[in-house]
Amino acid sequence: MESNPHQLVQEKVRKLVDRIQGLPTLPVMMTNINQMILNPRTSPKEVAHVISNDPSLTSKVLRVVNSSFYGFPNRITTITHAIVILGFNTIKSIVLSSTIFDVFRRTVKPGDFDRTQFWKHSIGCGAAAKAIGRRLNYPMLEELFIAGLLHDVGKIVMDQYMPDKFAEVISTVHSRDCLISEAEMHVLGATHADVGAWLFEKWNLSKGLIETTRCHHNPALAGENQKLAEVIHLADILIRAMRFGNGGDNKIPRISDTAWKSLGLQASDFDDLFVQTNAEIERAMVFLDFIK
Amino acid sequence: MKLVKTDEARPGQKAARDVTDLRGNLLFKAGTDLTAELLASCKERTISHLFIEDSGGEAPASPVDVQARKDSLMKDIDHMFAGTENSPIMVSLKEASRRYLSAKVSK
Repeated sequence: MESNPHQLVQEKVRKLVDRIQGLPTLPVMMTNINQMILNPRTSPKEVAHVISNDPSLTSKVLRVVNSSFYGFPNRITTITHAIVILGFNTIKSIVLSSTIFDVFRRTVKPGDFDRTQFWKHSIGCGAAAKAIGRRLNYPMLEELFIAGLLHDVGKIVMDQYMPDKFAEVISTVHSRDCLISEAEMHVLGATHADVGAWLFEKWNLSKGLIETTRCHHNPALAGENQKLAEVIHLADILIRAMRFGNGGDNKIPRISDTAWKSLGLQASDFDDLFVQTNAEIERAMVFLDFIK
Repeated sequence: MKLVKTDEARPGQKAARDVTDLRGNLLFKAGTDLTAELLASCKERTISHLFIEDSGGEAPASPVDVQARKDSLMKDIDHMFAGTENSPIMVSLKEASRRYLSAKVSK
């Protein structure tokens, strides 16, 4: 029986990730929090107890919840208080982001891929996604920010766990003057989007995060998460146009015509979206502390 | 306002935003003149970046410098968008990008 294109890519991703040795599992603490939150009888105090066992994580969560990103007038001093005010899912998102920044802390010698610029691009994409979401009255801005923040995580996986191949990708970006996804296809036969989605699947994260990560260059394939993927697709392109951070190349992908029509925005919205994204970036810079 | 690495901030520059430690405790407020002691304190607390006022401790860029930066930026934008000219929405995005970045350089 003939394989369809999706199966072929999946097979290439499988072969690619088979070469990755020792890819980390999702930390037990994050797995525990995921399971606890699924249980409707879990109390904020119980989740707070798990988070509070990690002093470094506790201080990061408190710093984010007290930052201008949320803009509460009064100081929040305990994780329990933070959960009561922001809810389980928001705290889970903050913990997940912090965990991913920690799991993929650079342990190999720096190559040509600038991680600080990469995380700035990622934070910028999350900020742009929020700005677009506000314009569209999207109900879950938090979900947009996290999906934007983590959409390119596959690049970090490759940089950390197959540095020689990823160096070849970056070298190809320069020699061919192309998009990083094109260089990845040329060198590896699959892209950071496939690798990131595979990781999130392995970590049993939400379907929305998996499909957005997989389809941020082709949101029409995201099924029931198409709208979320369309916002991240546009946010990724807007933040490139604003030249904030860098995801590894100096070209800009085209906005999908289908996504553009589906979102219902106008070309005259770009100026305001840039201004609003800039404001969101200022509020979100606290996430840069995670890379310390 | 611009974001700089704490290592690159200099005494005499002005903080553009409140600076807090990892627990969210206020170290000093926006508008504070940075001193060597404050910068050392930030580094001690592993605060890697600071927002500083653009004009703090720096001579304003000359019009020639500003124009040179704009020209360089416009070239970069042309390069980034090369090959997207037949997409009307990308043409609009490119124009918006030029307006936004040009205004940013002028500030």
